[in-house]
Amino acid sequence: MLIPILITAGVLLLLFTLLRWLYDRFWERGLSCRISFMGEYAVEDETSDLSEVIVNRKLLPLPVLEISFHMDRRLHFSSEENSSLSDQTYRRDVFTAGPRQKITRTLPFKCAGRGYFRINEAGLTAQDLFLTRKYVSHMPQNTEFYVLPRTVPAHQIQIPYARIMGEVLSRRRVCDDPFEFGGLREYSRGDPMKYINWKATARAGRLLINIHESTLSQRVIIAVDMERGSDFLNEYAVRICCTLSERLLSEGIELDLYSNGTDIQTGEPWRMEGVSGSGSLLAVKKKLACLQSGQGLAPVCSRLPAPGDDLVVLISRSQRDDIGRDLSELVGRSRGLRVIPCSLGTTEEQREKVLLFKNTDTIWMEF
Amino acid sequence: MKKIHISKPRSAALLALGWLHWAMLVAIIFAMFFDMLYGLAELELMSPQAAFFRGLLFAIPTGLSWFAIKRIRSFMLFLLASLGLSGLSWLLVGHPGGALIMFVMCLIRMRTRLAEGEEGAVRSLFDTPSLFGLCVFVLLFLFSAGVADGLPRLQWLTVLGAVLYLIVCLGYNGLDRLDSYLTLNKDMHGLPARRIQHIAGSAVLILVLLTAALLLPMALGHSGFVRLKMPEFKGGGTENLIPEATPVPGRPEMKIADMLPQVDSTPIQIPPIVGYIFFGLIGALLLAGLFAAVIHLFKNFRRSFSDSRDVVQYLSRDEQEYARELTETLRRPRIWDRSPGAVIRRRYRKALLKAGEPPERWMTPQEAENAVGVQIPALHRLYEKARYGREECTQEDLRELR
Repeated sequence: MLIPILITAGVLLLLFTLLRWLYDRFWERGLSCRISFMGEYAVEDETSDLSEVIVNRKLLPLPVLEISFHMDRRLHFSSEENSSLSDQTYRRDVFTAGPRQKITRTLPFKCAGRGYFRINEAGLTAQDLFLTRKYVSHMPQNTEFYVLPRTVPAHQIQIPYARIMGEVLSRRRVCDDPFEFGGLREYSRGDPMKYINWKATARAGRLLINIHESTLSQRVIIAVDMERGSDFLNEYAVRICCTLSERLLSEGIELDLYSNGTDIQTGEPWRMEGVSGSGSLLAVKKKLACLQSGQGLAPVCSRLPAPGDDLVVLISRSQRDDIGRDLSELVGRSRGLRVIPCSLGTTEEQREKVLLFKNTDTIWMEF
Repeated sequence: MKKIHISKPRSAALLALGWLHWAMLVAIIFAMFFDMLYGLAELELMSPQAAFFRGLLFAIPTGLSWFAIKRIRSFMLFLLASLGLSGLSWLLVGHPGGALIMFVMCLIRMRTRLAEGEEGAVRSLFDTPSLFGLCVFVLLFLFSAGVADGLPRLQWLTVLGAVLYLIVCLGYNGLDRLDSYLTLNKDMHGLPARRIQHIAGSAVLILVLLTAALLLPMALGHSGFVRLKMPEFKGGGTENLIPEATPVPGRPEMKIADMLPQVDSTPIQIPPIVGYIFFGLIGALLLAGLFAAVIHLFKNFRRSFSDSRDVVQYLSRDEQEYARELTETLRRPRIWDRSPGAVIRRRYRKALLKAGEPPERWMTPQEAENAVGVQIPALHRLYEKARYGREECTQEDLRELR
């Protein structure tokens, strides 16, 4: 009677080994994991969602399936659950995948900082039915997310914006295009005779002259200095650039954007040329999301092309004289605008220390 | 006094199984002692079966001693409690051996607690079953088969005890792994603890039930006796051990009634048919339980539900079919086709299917790669050449891929 007992115990052992072999061989078959951001972008301080979808198409259940991936620490999961924080956030989530099941989990997160975020890979760790063995693998992922810079409040941006618009309008007046009809108005002393519209004058019974629009390219060059130092003020520089771009584009002004920072997507110097129309605003914001600061960057003015008649706006937290001098040399006979974001409590004395140049206006913005 | 919280039934079951394992080891030693006493001195103070089955009650004072060492801070009080537990053990097992072992165990527990103060938590062998414990049963089995006249009653008990001990070990190890994992991750948000417990716990339960259903009836009905003849020393050489599966002459065959403790001298004769019906019923109940558990498990898998943040959907047959169709769009070359082009296409297909969900039918290779999230530029170029190119792929291409 002992032999049947031993045989039965052997059969049980064999069954157990068979089950293990099945898991060794097939645990990954029909298993897929997809991590994706629910939206394409969000603005700083907004919340968005990340979804994890696990599909197990086979009959073998996976009682424990751990999904892990790295995320930038600027994306905060609610109360940092299941995350460990270092340079990046390492997140680990546990799932249970029954046979032929699809599990969807949605994780809300808060966008704490501007940036471009990407998840390229997810780690998978599964265990067999009796939790005796661990199986490790990874799956490529392809999901990206932009956190766009938020805009600066209207009362803060009003001064630089008005100054830019003033410059732009004054150039408009100087350079009218006689072929661009803008309307009629009554003649006043000093108007050139050649602009009198004789047909309209005859019809109205009083002297009327043509108003001409300017077809001069209304272009503004905005440069953002991203030299590493105060990340807080650099972020404000980006926000100022974003807000000015939004307003200027809605006014129909063409923009050229430059920076000495690098584009996180391409790794090349950041720039965006010939942007016009409100429809381009999202592209500008996405591009600004990809702008990153760095150590040992070239001076921002060295990145700019010769501006010609275009207005140059430099946004830099740096109060060094060489930056002002570079800008002054760059704009030459034209005029430039230097916007200096500074922290609250910057005194007049500190402001007076900054060297001023005749061809550049300086605007201080406190945050 | 310190309060102890055993929060979950799972933890309680683990503790109970731990105590039972120690009781089983003690019980089989008691059985051996009484059987040897009968064999050597013809002195039947207690039958080995009674000693074994009453010895299982030793689990109660073992558990109480665990509670005592956890709750009682003062050593003097614990010593008093040890004396009480020793008395209880004597009462339950029916002989002073129980009291002696209990007292020694209490002293060891006390020493362990002192060590815990310095080294941290220590897992006591009294509370942790291990498959090495089976060695005790194996050794006693060999002993029962090897002594001069043989100890058939002890042998029967060692087989039964080994099966019971195996079941306890399987249950304990399975539950312990589950409990360790869930305890380790208890702070993890969204941990599907119930579902993990459901699947892994069911697997352990099925394993235990299957083992019990297959081995227990055999162990209970085990009536043979294995005898090992010790080799006689001869100058010319040695002889091997010869196992013999014959009943011992002059010894009665094992009966169901022998399993029960013999309290008084009048033997209770249970007709064999009652035993068959009894074990038949137990077997049927176990099988029915197993069947119901499997049905319940699969029924749960086939429904869609929400659990915390998870939306769990059962993939219907239509979805399975659709996925299969999508997989087939990435057609695999003929199995006998070993040309470089076929190898490249096979490798590309594998890379895409491994990455995740099969891509849609209408997708170009680039779109499919983007959809599943892989970047395989070299393989992509060669796949396009193999799949759509005018020229055949060459061994050079294959080498480039490697």
